[in-house]
Amino acid sequence: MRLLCKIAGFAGSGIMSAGEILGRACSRAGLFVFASNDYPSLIRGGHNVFSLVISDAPVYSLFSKVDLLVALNEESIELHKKEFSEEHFVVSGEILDRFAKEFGELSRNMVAVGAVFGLLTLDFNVLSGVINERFAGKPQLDSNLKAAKAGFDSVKPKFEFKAKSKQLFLSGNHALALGAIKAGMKFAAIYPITPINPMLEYLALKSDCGFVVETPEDEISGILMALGASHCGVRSMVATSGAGFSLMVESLALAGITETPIVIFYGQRAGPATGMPTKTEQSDLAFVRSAGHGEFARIVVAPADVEECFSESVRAFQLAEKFQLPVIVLTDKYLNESFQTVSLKSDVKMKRESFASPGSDFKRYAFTADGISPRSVPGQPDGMFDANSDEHDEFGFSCDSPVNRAKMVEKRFVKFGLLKKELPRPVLYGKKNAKTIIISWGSTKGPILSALEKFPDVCFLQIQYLTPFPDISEFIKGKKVIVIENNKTGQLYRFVKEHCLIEPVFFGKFDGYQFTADQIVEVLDGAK
Amino acid sequence: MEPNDYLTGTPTWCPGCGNFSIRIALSQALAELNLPPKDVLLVADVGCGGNENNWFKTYVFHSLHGRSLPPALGAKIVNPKLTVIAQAGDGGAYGEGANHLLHACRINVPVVYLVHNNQLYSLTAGQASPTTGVSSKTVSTPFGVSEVPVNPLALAISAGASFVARGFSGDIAHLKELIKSAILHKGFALIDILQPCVTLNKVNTFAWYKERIYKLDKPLGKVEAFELALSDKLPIGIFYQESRPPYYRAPLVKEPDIDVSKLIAEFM
Ligand SMILES: Cc1ncc(C[n+]2csc(CCOP(=O)(O)OP(=O)(O)O)c2C)c(N)n1
Ligand code: SF4
Repeated sequence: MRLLCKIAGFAGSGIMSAGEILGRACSRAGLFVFASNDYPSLIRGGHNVFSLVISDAPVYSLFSKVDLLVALNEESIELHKKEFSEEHFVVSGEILDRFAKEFGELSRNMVAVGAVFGLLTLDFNVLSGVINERFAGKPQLDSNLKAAKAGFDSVKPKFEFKAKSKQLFLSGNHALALGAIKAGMKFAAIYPITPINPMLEYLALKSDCGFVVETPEDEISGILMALGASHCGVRSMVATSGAGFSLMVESLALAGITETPIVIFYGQRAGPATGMPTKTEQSDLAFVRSAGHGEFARIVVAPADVEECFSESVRAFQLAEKFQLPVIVLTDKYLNESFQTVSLKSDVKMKRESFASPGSDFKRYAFTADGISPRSVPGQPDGMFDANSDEHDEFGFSCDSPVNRAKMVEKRFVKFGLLKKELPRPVLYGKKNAKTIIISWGSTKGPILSALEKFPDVCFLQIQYLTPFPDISEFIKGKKVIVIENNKTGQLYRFVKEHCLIEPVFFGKFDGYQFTADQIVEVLDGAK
Repeated sequence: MEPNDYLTGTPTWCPGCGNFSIRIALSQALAELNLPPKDVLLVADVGCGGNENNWFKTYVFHSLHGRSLPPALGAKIVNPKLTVIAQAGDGGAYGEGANHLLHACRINVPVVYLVHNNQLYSLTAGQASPTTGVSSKTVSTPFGVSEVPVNPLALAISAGASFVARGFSGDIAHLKELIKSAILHKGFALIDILQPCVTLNKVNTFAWYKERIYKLDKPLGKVEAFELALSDKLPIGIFYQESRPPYYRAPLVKEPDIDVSKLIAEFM
């Protein structure tokens, strides 16, 4: 059994929290959920939707047909009726009005959540447990519980699922933040911006565990504060979107030349400029791959789902420290704010890279075979050095001799050799000998995987680490190659074309929404 | 400690440049306070003054133009045991990076900010900066500056700075004492240092300053200090100092890792 439930209404009517509560309760009841929200850049008013795909098997994406609509206002029915599946069901009108009157307008969303839980034939105790935790100590707890119970009792069970055991339910933002904490991150400087605000807020809430979360005056200051902290040996991060990253670019180059580790979480949204600030897009890959003046080594990784947000966030800190360079973790609004039923794992061996035991004449930027030089931190005796934004010699002092310059540039890129061996390889889904291969990156993975269930002769290559770019020739040999991305110009497509000297087919989407599984099916039908 | 314990190399500034004296005053202040060079972090801007990143034997972070404060704050926040000195020219401090100054004043992280104010963009060869006087002719203002200059001290006082001073590179002993007070101050400390650029600034010369400068004997009340900063007078010394809790977080440099499994379980 699998269904798509949408909760829709005015922004400000508690749709996000209703959706999260429902998703968590379903996961706890042993179902699989994929959920995503859609809202305008307003605090109140405008149309707001939280979509949940609920299933008894793993789910990776949204679908186009709505089976269950919770319409918190009448207009929502008009707006969504064209999406109805044949056997759809609507929760709206009279029930909601009646109980909203009884328990207060603010509890309308909880009546709806209760009703949905009843329709799904699930145990009310699980839902009440989630509501209890969510509103613990708050005045609305009691009315919310009563409202949910009234909603639950007002419907007859309609959909039946085979439940498994309870699982975690969280968003990309939360998984990225948990990964950072697991990696031993100690300093985060984050200026608010959609879609990373939940990450900022979660980290701030948990900062009493023993790390610092700063809200700097701007993103320029943010990344530089983080670099200052990192210079002192502390694992440091920033999180932003395109507008903020644009301001950070000069400092990215500074991280490059001073070889100061930093992790940059970058949630893309629909640009250019302010664009559509609450809508999604994958249109900054080319930008992050080359951002910054001059040439320097960096890593760009694009987690594709909530589990990868966790595992690659952990790895990003490890890589940044080991290779002494900036790591950009590139996600998008759709992924940052998607919720999924997951189990979180990390195969990364957590290890602080040891700092040097400096003696006299310590060379912080010593030329080494692998390009990685010994690092000291302020406070260490004899380790004094200049982390210099000017080109420098092995001690860090400014130096513009052509011989030294060429060697230093080489040294900073030699790391790539070792790095290529250490990074996870691209992952192939489906049959190795399929005639057609889809290549993509980031959150397009979910809809592609869902669509592939219908195409046994198509396989899918997910490229997670995009800089340095992996060798993918073994995967694509003799196959028809299709690149699918959530952008207009085919930023990965262009790269694959140049890099592999082939002529792939490209499908893009740039309307502010990620593909649904059905849209990928259409693309593949059309590409036959 | 001796001043030389903090110094290395041979500066390449123009002979007679005020930057020499500031470097000496800083090394003397550090020595008199007996601060081990390993526990000192100098964060330098890009400019003539910023070139001193090469001539200090402490830990150094040579930042971008206008951007010495943010890394200094980040470093001090995670390792409060360090003595952190940020340096900038007037271009970096009051132009490119003025926003950072405004907020450093508010946040009150104990960092000393030494602004080498020569009233020009000197490293780029003498264009007018935010502190160049009205009607001054420079290579970028051949018909004279028409803008009102930034008033750094009034700006800092109004932004909530807890230590605001003016020094003069021509009086090393006085400047050294100012720097010592700034290092000992528990909070953010700005010292705007009048620094003649002997090569490019033919208006604000050593003699010009000598004629106008006099010493303040003690810090003033906030309003008085603000008024004095706005006046045409050119006193040096501490204008304003208040005791206000500095920004403080527990040191993070040796903090053990956190058990994340408990946090993850909250999402079950
Ligand atoms: C973002 C940026 N813009 C411009 C420059 C070029 N630049 C280097 S130093 C400088 C001016 C320095 O003036 P000031 O900060 O007053 O220092 P001084 O040289 O006078 O000591 C400029 C404009 C730069 N390095 N970075
Ligand atoms: S140009 Fe001016 S500020 Fe620069 S070194 Fe020469 S005298 Fe000093």
